[in-house]
Amino acid sequence: MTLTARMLRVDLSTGRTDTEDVPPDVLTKWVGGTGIGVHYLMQEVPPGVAWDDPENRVIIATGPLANTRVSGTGLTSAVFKGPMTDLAGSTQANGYLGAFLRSQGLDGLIIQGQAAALTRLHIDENGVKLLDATKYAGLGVWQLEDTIRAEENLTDKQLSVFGIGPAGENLVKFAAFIGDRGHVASHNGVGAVLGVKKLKAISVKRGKVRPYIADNAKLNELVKPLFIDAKEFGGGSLYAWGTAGGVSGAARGGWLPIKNYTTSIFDEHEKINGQYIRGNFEWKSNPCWACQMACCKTMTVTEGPYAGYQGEEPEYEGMASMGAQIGVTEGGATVMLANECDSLGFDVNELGWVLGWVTECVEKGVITPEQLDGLRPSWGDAETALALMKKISTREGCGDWLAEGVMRASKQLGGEAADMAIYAQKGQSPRSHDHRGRWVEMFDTCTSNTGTIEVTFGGAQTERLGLAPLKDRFDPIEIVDQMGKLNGWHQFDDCLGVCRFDFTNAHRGVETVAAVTGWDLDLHKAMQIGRRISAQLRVWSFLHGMDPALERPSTRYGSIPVDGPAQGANIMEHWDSMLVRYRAALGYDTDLGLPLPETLRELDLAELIPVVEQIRQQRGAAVTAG
Amino acid sequence: MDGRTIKLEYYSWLATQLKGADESGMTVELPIEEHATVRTLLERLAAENHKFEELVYDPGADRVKEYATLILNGRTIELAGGLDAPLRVGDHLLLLPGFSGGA
Repeated sequence: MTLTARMLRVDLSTGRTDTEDVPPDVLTKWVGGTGIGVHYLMQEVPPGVAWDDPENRVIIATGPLANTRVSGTGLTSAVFKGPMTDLAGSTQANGYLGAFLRSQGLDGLIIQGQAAALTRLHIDENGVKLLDATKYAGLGVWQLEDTIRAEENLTDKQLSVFGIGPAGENLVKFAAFIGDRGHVASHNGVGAVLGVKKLKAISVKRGKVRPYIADNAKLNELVKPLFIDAKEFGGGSLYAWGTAGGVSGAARGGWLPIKNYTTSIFDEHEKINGQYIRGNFEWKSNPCWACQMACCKTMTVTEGPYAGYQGEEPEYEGMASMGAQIGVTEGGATVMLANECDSLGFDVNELGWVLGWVTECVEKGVITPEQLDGLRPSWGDAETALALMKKISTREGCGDWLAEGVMRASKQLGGEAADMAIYAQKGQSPRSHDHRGRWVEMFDTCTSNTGTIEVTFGGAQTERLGLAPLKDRFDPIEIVDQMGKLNGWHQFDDCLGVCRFDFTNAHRGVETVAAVTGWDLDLHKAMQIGRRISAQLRVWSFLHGMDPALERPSTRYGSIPVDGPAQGANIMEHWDSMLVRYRAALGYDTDLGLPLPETLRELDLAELIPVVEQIRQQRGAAVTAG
Repeated sequence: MDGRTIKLEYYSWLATQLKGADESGMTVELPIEEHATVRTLLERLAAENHKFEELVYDPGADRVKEYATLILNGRTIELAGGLDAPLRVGDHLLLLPGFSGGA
């Protein structure tokens, strides 16, 4: 026996569902998850297909570790053309979906076409069904999950449910794909693409197919040490406090987003950090598939104006964007807003940038309450933030304009307001940090090909690959040189069906993949797979009109902090030289940033050489190697 | 102490792991020699405590570890002169975790 993979093709226009085996050479080249997604994207979504064209695809794939006993292996990666960038998107969520798909003998879904009405895809031991979902119209994701599980008489450990909220149904450009109680594939508007397709929900029952494992004895040796690596990662903070345990470090270090980057000082951070909410509110663990880290919790607020509110414990991004970014200093209010954001179906990062921008604009008088249907947001006003969220989710009144995301909304308004908006110019939302204090992630956000970060993750994270940490986190040369060495790892790990938080030691991680797949794999080969994915994503996005001149931050995103630990730091004076050096480090040309022929050959992508040459000719660019 | 001291604040999990304190942190007053720099202080602390070397500063590589951040008198260390920055009486050096991330 060898590792195999099978995809389910779901054509929502015709109602047909068919399985197809992934050819062995495709499987070894692209592995699963993001890799398989990028393969199908290149094969099936040609230039000219817009993000809201029914011919766009959403490939939701897991990978070879999913449904195994490796901790945290319920992950799926969604790949598609997204509305925020009008380019490729790749975004991941853990939970159970990846594990349950594999337990039904499937490694992924290729979703195409457009249903006539809201539809639910259901998979169980009786096969695949496309069910009418019009009765779920307008339901928030929490309620959607509860309703479907009640109808199937199954628990959340027996039935994985993901779906879109009102934001996705109403094609909010930063709508997300959310399920299994708080797991969010959040980036680049994947929820809007599913909204176009009218796919409201996907439900997959836990099945009985066991995952292929080439070397069980070796895997047994690796599972526990891999978990220990994860448990001790970042000083054990993640295991102890979840990602929200990083809020106060970010606040005092100068990389927490505060009031739309108008300041970098936020003395109230200890009221909205993970230590506070986990130390004061009621919670219980809600781990993902096989996860021993158990960083996910359900939570009940026990104090303040939102006492009694029940939901999930927000991650760092939820606490940052629904807290400091909009000036909220009350833990319960932040938990409430982050959960309402998820249930309505938004990417919490972009929602924070939109709400913070609107609030600053009102404060400075460049947007009037009349333009907001009478609402007057102010820093720390959770109820008005909630009212705006609801309007955006249904595109009611001012919500229609804000549903376009902060880049488009601010450009429409123009003037002073346009300079206050935080975004990367290709359209992607930065994650909820103040990257003016974390240059490596700003540079990654702006140059990435995924619609979110591509190389970094909470900083450069060099040590997990055995590289030395950055000596100077504000040294533009060191940053891009390290990024050149790191490029590939996270695209590889997004192929596997495992959560990054459970996969913190790259060398042991690759050994684990080799034990499961039986493949001859080492870290170098794994990195090559990841670089192949990045390169193909990039070429695909060029085919769809990507403008490399937009690989820059917006005016506010790239501004100079006026106070705080990074006061005065100015990344923009280095930006152009960073771009040139980074592209050269990756084996790309330095004017457009397209992979050079020798790079494509090295990555086993020789078939793209004529494609890239044609793009260069169309853009009138010569090859300029670094 | 002859009055030549600085304040070193351990915060969050670094306070827990290095000082047995809770997450809200612990501040200690440390004597400094003449011509002390941030580097000489880190070298001294790494020599005194293997865990400090493991979590904060590797003297062999002369690098602050990935998940530690130093803030000197409210400025991130790289923008405050780096490890060569001189330490002066009354300075406040904050030792922070350096990771935050999520979905």
